[in-house]
Amino acid sequence: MEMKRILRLSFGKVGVTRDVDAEIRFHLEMRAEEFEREGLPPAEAMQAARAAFGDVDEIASECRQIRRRRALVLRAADALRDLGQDLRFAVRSLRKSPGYTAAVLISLALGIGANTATFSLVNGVLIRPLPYEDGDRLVHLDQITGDSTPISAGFSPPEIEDYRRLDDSFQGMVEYHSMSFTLLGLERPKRVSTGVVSDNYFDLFGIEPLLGRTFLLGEDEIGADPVLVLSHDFWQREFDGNPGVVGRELEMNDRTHTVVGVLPPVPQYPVENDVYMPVSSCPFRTDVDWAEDRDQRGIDLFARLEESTSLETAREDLSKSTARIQQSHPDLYEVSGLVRSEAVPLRERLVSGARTRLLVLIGITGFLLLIVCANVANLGLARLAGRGREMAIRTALGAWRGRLFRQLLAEGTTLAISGGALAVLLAWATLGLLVSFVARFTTRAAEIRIDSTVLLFTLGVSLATALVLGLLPALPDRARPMDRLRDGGVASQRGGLRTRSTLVVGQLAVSIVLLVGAGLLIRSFVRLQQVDPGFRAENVLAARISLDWSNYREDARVGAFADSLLRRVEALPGVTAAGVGNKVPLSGQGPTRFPLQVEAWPEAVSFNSLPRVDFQAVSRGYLQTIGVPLVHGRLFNRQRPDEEPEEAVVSQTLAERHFGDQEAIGRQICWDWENAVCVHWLDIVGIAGDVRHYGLDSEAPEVVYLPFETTGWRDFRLVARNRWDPTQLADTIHALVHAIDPTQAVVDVRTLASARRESMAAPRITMLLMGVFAVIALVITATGIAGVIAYAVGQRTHELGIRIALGARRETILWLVLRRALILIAIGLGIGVPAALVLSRFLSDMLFQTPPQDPLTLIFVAGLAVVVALAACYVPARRITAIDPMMTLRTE
Amino acid sequence: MAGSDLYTGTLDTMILKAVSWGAMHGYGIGRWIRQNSDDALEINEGALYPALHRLEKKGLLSEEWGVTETNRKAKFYKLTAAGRRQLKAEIVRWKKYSQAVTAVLSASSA
Repeated sequence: MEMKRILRLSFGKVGVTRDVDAEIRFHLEMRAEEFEREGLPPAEAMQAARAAFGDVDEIASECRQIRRRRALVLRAADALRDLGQDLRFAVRSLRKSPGYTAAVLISLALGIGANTATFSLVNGVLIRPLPYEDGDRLVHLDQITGDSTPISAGFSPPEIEDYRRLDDSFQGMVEYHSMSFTLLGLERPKRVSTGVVSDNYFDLFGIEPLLGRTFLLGEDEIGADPVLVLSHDFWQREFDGNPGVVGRELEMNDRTHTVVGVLPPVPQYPVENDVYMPVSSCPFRTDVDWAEDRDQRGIDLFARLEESTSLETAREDLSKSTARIQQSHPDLYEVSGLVRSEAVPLRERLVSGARTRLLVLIGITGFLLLIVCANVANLGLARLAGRGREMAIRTALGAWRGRLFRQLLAEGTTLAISGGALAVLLAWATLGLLVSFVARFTTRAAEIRIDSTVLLFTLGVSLATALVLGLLPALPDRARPMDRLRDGGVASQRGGLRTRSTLVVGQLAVSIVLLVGAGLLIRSFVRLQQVDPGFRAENVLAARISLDWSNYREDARVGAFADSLLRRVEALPGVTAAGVGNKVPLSGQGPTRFPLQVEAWPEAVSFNSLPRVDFQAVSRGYLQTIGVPLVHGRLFNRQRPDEEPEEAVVSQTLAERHFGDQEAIGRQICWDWENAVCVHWLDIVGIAGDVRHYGLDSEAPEVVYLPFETTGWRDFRLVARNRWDPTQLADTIHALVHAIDPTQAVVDVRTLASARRESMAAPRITMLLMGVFAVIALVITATGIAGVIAYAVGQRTHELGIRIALGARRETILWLVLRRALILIAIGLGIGVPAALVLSRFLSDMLFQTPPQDPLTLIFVAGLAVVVALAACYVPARRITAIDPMMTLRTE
Repeated sequence: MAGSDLYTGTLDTMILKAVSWGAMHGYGIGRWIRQNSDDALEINEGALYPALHRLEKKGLLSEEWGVTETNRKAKFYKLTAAGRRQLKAEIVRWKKYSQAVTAVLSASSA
């Protein structure tokens, strides 16, 4: 210490100059005396000394410079030594209280870990730029049709040409649609989802292929050789990432396609496709029926904004183009009822489904971190109170305040950094689960990883926590060391108790907010589970069979295939019913909406304003197989595949909504129009029960069921009800399909029960996450409350002992302590409940049939909080009954 | 004095040698060098001080303020263990060097 202080003096800022000057002055004086002794007069002697010395100023400044540099090195070494010492001391002192250290580390790991994990989700999905070149200028274009129910219609090929010609606020416009084709040449016939795109599709996105090339200009023109680009995922799955795949030839739609490239792992919108082909390779897109029909839409357009164009301008331009196109074909657009076009940034499209959930999630974990910080600060205060005497002695012995503070900061930093490291491990371990959760809402989930931004975030949060840990104890630490030595560190603890009580109240309030959130989600989930889906999912297996377009061009062949498959499946032992339909409930498929026209409606009703309802093609056995009851009437009769459908069954909702009290059976609805005039009517022969086809949380759709054989659906679902576990049928169904035609693919084989479970996975995981966070919060808060009460009791043991000795009843004393707890709880509720009322409305998008202000949930949560808090108080408060008044008096 | 590497290195070595008997202040070191070199080396006395500070920075010397026999405050320099090692090495090197130069210069003929 002594040596160091001296060094500090002569190397300090002022010290350097003084030191060098004094040394040189001494030299000159001594030398001058020498000259005087040799006989020079005093004045000249000094001059001679200076002359012998050289340029005094320059030499002095050179010396100062050397010393200053030396001082820097010295100070750095000093600081490093101090830091090392502080950290070593911190580790030593933490190891002496393993309980405290473990409690803090676990809290921090949970709090920071939850935040690291959710931040990595937010970072990957919402913050990071799209992994496309200048991705924020990419927009998705769409046309919206339908007055009453807006439906995204997409574009028809002639419209695409028009827009390309008319619109100049975009640098490029590329088309996209997705189809499912059968790919041959792999182990088994494989049904692949195929993105059908313009030749410059990938160039517009700025996607560089991982292997080979993407499409060349001109490859989307009719007559070009068929080529394929594989998605990264498909390449990994089917080819084990073998780079030799480029150049490989695969059969598709009766043509040989050459694989020319592999994409890097990039998110795809609207869906992930297995492979991509230029439009020239798609047998449907090149067919005149589609290519030249202005009314056949369903194609997506992507465009890149010109550098100088804003989104608003582009939208206006787009609307102008739409208006011009409609004016040039008035009769057509009058009928099809195309209302408007829209341009939405691709980023928006990609993440809109996930945004609310992610923001709620990061909000929740932020709250959790608050609770954790309060808890850790509370633990720190308790520990500091225990060390009050140690600190006082060290202060009295001359350790300066800054030094003690640095000591606490070093402990805080050690804890926070270790906690942060544990947190990263925790986040890393749970990331896979969270990514699969987010993947339900956005294809950007694939980009989520713990990268440098996330680590920086974690470091920042950890350091902030360290500061809290270091600073908080410093706040109430204002007592003079002598006072604290005198009373053993009690005087300063009144302030400590107040700080700790405030922290606990805050914890309780935040816990209530989280509990209310979790409670609402649980209630909503229970409601969802109680929903009657309208079908009986038990023991039903569904399989998707997509007949190859090139081999099943004629509807009759499709009908024959379905018939022969159904006959074989029905003959299986155990199978009680089987059917085919173009979709199964809750499988993620969207509705097929057609206009509904009832024969009794006046002609004046314009085509545009007709309601759109869901048309489904089902075999006669389908409804019975999935357990949908026929409420009235009968099933439609079997028809021949070459006929137009004659009869239909409608869902109950449709019947009630459009026929009201009148009998729907025997009435007619339109099947086919020509120039907005109905040319073919269907007879309603039966009414089926409602089915929640598109999600348990969405209303049962209005459905028209048509005879499957008249519709020629090539991509259909087989359903079979078994007497026992239906999964045992899976292999048999594969075999049966391949016995009829070995080149057809069977996919998505699963039970209806699992489809139902799957449809509830997102709300279930949301509920679980929220529930886990809320429980952690409650447990931490309970320990906090217990800690404060224990502390309060411990502090007053002496006083309480005297009271008992003087005859106070223990119950009275217990009440004295519990009263404090009750006040804390009341304040916590007073803040937490209103806060929960305000904040829970952010959850409303995720709640099913549960109002965000659900009173039952609030009451339950408040009750739970009070019970847990009181239980937490009771344990330490009971120590009062163990106070021995004699002992208390004796220690006096 | 300043400027030449040979001289700088030489001055350093002479300083180390000067303090090898015991702690000395700057003036004393200067005087010692003057006296022992018979004033043969034309030293700008001031050049001594940057050299002293550099040696201190290298850790070859340590410094301490103290009082002279005449009761004046002065800074004293002392050889550190590293300084002593350095001095020994320098002496050996210098001897070899001067022997070599002497041998070359006193060679009579080929």
